[in-house]
Amino acid sequence: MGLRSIIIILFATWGSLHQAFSQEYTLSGYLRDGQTGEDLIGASVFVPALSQGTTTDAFGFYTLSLPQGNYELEFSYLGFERVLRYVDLNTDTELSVKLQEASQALTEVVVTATVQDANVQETALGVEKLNTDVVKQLPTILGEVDILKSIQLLPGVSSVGEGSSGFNVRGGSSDQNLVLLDGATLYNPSHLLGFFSVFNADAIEDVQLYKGSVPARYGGRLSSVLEVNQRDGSNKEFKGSAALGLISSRIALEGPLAKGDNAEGKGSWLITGRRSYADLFLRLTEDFNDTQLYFYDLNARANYQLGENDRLYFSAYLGQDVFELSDLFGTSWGNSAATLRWNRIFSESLSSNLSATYSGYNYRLQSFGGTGFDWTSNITNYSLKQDFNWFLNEKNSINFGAEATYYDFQPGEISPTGESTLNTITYDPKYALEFGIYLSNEQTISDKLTLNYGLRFSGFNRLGNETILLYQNNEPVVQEPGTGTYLNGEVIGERTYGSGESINLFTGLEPRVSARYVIDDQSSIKAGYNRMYQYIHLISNTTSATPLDIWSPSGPYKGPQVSDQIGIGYARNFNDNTYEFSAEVYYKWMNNLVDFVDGAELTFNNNLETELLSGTGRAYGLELQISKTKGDFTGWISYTLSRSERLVEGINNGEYYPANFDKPHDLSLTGMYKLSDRWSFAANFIYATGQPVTYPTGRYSYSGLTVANYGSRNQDRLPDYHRLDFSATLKGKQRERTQSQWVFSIYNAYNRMNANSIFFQERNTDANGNEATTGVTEAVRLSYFGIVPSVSYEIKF
Amino acid sequence: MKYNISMLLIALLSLTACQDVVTVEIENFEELLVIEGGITHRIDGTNNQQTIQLSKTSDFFDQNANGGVEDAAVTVTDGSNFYDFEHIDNGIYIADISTRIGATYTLNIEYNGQFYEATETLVDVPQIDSIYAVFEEESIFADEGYVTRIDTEDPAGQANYYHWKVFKNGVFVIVPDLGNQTNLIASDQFFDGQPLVGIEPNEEVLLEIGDEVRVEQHGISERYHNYLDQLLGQTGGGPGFGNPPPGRIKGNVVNATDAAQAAVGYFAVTAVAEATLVVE
Repeated sequence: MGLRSIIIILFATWGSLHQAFSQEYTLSGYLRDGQTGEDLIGASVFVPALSQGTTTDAFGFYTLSLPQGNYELEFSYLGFERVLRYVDLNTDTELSVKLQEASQALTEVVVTATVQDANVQETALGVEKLNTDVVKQLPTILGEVDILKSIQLLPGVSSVGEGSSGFNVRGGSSDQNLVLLDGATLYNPSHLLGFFSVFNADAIEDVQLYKGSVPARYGGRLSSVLEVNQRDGSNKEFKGSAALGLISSRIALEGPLAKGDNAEGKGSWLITGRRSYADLFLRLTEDFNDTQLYFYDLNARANYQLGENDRLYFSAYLGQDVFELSDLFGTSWGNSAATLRWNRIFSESLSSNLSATYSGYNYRLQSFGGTGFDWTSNITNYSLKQDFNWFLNEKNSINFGAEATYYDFQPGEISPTGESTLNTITYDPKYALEFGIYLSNEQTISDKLTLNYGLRFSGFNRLGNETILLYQNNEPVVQEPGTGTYLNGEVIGERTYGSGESINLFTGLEPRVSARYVIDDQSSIKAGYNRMYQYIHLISNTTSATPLDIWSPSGPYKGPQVSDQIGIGYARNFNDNTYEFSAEVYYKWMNNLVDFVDGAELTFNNNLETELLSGTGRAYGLELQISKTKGDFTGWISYTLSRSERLVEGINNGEYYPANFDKPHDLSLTGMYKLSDRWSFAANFIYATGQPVTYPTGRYSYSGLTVANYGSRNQDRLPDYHRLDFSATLKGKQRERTQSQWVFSIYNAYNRMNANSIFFQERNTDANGNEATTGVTEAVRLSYFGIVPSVSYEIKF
Repeated sequence: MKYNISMLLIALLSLTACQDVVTVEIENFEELLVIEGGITHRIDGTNNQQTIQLSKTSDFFDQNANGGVEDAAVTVTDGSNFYDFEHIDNGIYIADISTRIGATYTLNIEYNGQFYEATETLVDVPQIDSIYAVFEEESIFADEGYVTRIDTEDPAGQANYYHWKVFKNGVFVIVPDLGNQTNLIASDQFFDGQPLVGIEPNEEVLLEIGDEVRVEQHGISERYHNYLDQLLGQTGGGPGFGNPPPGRIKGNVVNATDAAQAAVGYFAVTAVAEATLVVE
């Protein structure tokens, strides 16, 4: 059955359903923060008489379709006072409501879901939400609030180690996560080689992670989508906050736009900045007095109400890491992103978002001296996306839309610096157009059964101009019989494609289906199936990604990665939503994954195809989570039992081996306790199986050095990882204009020396402490953090 | 000119990171034949003696030097002539072969009922134009002392790969160091056809007045360069952040009898230019 016939059938179904329910009226409107005017996302609208409700979308907008009649409506959002309204519904009606913050902010902390019963009612599987208010309370390393570290406390999310960029979702690599900041892709979400994330908590409202059922409107990555939403500034008054930490300081300013003499502006703005200052300390030491070492983030967001039904949003991000040891070398890297979005409400039932986004990632490497060089590389994309939400009727809610993204890959240019005699080299730029169209429907079949079915058609067109090398037998890599060494294929010619000429076209159909069956008010079961395509690949053969890895598009010698995932879940609430429990199992097949030949040269290489191998993978697991969402004590326990394995010809004798991020057991406990209005405490504990590593099976001597002879890949394990952290938050007394807060943290409270790696080496200092060959072999454990206490101070004005 | 960001990491984490020697159980031991050496072509034509050294892998934590393999039959052919190698001591086999740039050499070893084979082609190397010593002050990465520098010129229009060896007062010097991968070998992909001025063939070798230093500049194959790149990367000491996780380094020696029992090491065929200096 082709895409076309599926679309026809879907439309035919909706058409008939639409008529059956046409005598109902639509109730719609916005829910906003009465204090700041911010949109309340995911707030609840409930009709007790009908036991029916909905939640607001990403713009605080809701729509309900109800039979004619008088209703009591309940509007609620955690941390806000509940509002009751009566409505006499005899025509399509608009009802917007402002909620006031509850007198004691954060009496209830939202840990997993923002809405009553959301865990049970939600159709999708494997969706996780975290609010910045929670993230800010959790213990941190060196006082840096970190959203990426916090999501690793959720089931199914892990990382390779403390100093690794990004995160791994359900056995996928870190480049298989689509990280969106207000809709714009961020290519590397990490600072300082992975110790901190690029997300400044002051700018972020919340994050949502799709690890199972990924909505049809998203595509392009295999494992997950992380939606990071920046918050709106206040549309009532100018406000700000500042924070001082050990590593960095932050400042945030916000205020209304076009306010005039009104109580509220027609829009608002928010600007936040953060800069680290480790180099200021380093410069105090003699050895590092010329060192530059810092990162910064700038976030901005503005929104403006053009008319009753039109709203404009603008978001931007700019961040950079800089490291320079004078006279030796320097490196810098960073993301930039911008989004312009026009939200229009056409009618009670149809709304649209049109977004134009820009994203870029760049890095630079410089070395000085006789062979000094300056190396720059970047990736840029421009994207246009049109999404429609069509609230067809009470039973059917449709999303459809299309997007197109143009990529410009500049893998690198090297030029000499100073007296260097190096040649200037430019590696071939690569161009591509990625596109997708999608259609999905959330259909209520009965009180108990809801289906969400959708289809995404995606494609990727690699474009010229570029010269592609042709290889004997079309094989850029050949395996030498006997040694099993991979060697470059023989070049037999080349083909040059003109500007804009199509080199390759890949397309894929991505069905996304999930179903939820409510057993009773408090429990439901769910099932889902997902297919995902990924057309661009991060070229990295290190254990975890580094900032200097490059992205490369699918092309003549590397097709898209594809995954299929099935999942089944169970959700249950206890004691009026005080406790939430969920269990999910999943199995994922991955094809055409990227792997590399031994000793692959990935950085300085114009013909990467000679270094790439293709592999398959499988990942499966059980995820359990129980949360306490109400009361003075809140928190959650999550446990993941999983495997993630790879199969690549020529590696491990052609048998499955554990992926670098395979962690069969992964447990986290997170607790938060509110002692008084001023004091609150949090703690977390993490336990995980040690990551897979390769140990030597022997040693030998070569060229004067003692060499470890390694065995099969990833057949051994580092010692298990565990860690306990604490934090305490002390709120200052509320003053007329200001409110301050201290956060004290202890990371790794019992000073566990967790192995980030164990490496096997020949001891390189003799008895006198001089560098020398010794012939003595040893295993050395590298731990990044012992116990780390920290303190930070924040003031709001 | 491979870049290693380990230094960055070390500088960054000098305050919190910690390294300590730990005890690790290693369960599987594989005993394999190790091959080092091969054919060396001296461009000044001084010496034709060729050396091949055979040994066996030992348990990783066995701290005794690996013993030589003394009862192997070692031969090399250049396609028209066959040369038998003679065992002299502790696994060292020698033969006199007059070598020729562009010739392809095949090594055959018979040991313990197994037949091993490797093939490699001899590539040219430019001469060392000058050698000199420069005094360097103490820095965060090195003590003070004289370091050796050389000038040479890369031939244009062809891919060249280099391996430098430094001998101090007649003794080959190498230390397990992160910089080896960057300093001891090079590919000319960034300096094809350029004069190379002030190359430090091994910055770890510090000299004093009166020391004699000899530098060997080897022209090597791309494959041997890749082999040394992995070997020096994995023996640098340290976690090698930015390097792939360590794994078996595959050489060019095939076990024709049992492919699963492949030999380790490399049958290297290199052309060598050399220069000597006494520090004054």
